[in-house]
Amino acid sequence: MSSPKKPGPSKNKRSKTHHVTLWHRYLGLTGLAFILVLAVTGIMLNHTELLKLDSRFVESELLLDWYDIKAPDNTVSYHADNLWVTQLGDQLFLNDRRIHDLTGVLVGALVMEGVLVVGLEGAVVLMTPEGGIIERLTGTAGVPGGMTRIGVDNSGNLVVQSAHGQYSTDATFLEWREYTDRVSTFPLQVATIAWAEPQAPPSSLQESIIRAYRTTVLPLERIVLDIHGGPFVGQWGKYFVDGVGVLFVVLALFGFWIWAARKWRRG
Amino acid sequence: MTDSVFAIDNVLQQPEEFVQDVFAGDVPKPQVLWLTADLADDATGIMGHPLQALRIRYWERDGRSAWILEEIGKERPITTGIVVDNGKVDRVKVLIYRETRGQEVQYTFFTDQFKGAVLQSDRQLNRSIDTISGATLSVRALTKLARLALYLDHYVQSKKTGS
Repeated sequence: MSSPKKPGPSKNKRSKTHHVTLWHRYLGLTGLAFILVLAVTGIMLNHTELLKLDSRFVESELLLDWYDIKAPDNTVSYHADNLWVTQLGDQLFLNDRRIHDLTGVLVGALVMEGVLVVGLEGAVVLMTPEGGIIERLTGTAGVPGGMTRIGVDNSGNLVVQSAHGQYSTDATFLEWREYTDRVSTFPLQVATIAWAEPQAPPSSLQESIIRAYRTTVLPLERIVLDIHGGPFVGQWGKYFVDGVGVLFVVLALFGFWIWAARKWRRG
Repeated sequence: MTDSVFAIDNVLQQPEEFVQDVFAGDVPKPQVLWLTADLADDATGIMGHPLQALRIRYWERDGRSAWILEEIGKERPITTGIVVDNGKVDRVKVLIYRETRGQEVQYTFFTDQFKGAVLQSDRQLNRSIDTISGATLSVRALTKLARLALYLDHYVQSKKTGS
């Protein structure tokens, strides 16, 4: 004698489970792309230093425009022989190349005996024309603070105008002394100083510098972080990512519901 | 926001005062050591990165040399005065400390460890320098600077004697 058939779930219940399974599938497929993006960007952010995300900068004009990255307006340039030294924001450029590891307020630039002398507010930096730093002269080397301009007198001495007066050094740049413009007292001869004066660089160079500046502002880490968190697509992006988060919660609950329903059906 | 919010230059001694102290007020003329390719390579080996300069200033008299060198601890440079006397470290003094942590390296209980240290053929100090918890990077920076000063002094002295 066959045992009576165990009653299964009603047709109505089976239909509901089927609907939920379908929704679970569609929502899962919709969320697939987001899961991949979140997972990949999350892994990248976990290894920021290894991937050098914080020290590599975005160069794409499109992305820079998207982030509205603009160069500051306060450009100061000095022309020394065939070289241009420019301060843009807190960055310094030799022609259109950024001088790394050098920031400050530019007060002048000139060439002495083949050495590019860059005057900053609190330091004189000696450089090769190719951009290599020979030496940074600060208070340690006797350079006065609060410099406002630099120049060369007609004896070939470097002269700086500082908050406390004028100081000078010769082409060895080893020792600084208070400057006197009296070459001789009788007959009275006074030295003349050619001060480095700011000049407007050619417009093509200006554009190159602005382009170079923009490519030093936006680290890759910021892009990855914004893609991960949502702000990349605008101010509503983070709410969108919140929505994706809610979607994952719903998916998890649906998944559990489907699993539980099947388990119950199988007895 | 400016850097000063996070760290203030803690000037323990002005570098020029340090040099005055070292030579008891009778400071010799400063000299410069140009970093040739070989020297630069060796200095890179000691520091773990290329030096940001092509020449280094120093003061020297009778086998005693003074160096003002800088190295980044964690984020900002530590300006350090180092005196080498006849191939041995005579004094290490932190002159300007800019990091927000690790200030313990400025105290003599730490810097006195370098006194008498010499450079071995592998360009390491002949003694181990005890580290300080929480100041590991600053300790490492000062140790590298001491090695660099010994190496540069050795170069300068051997140039003088022609050996």
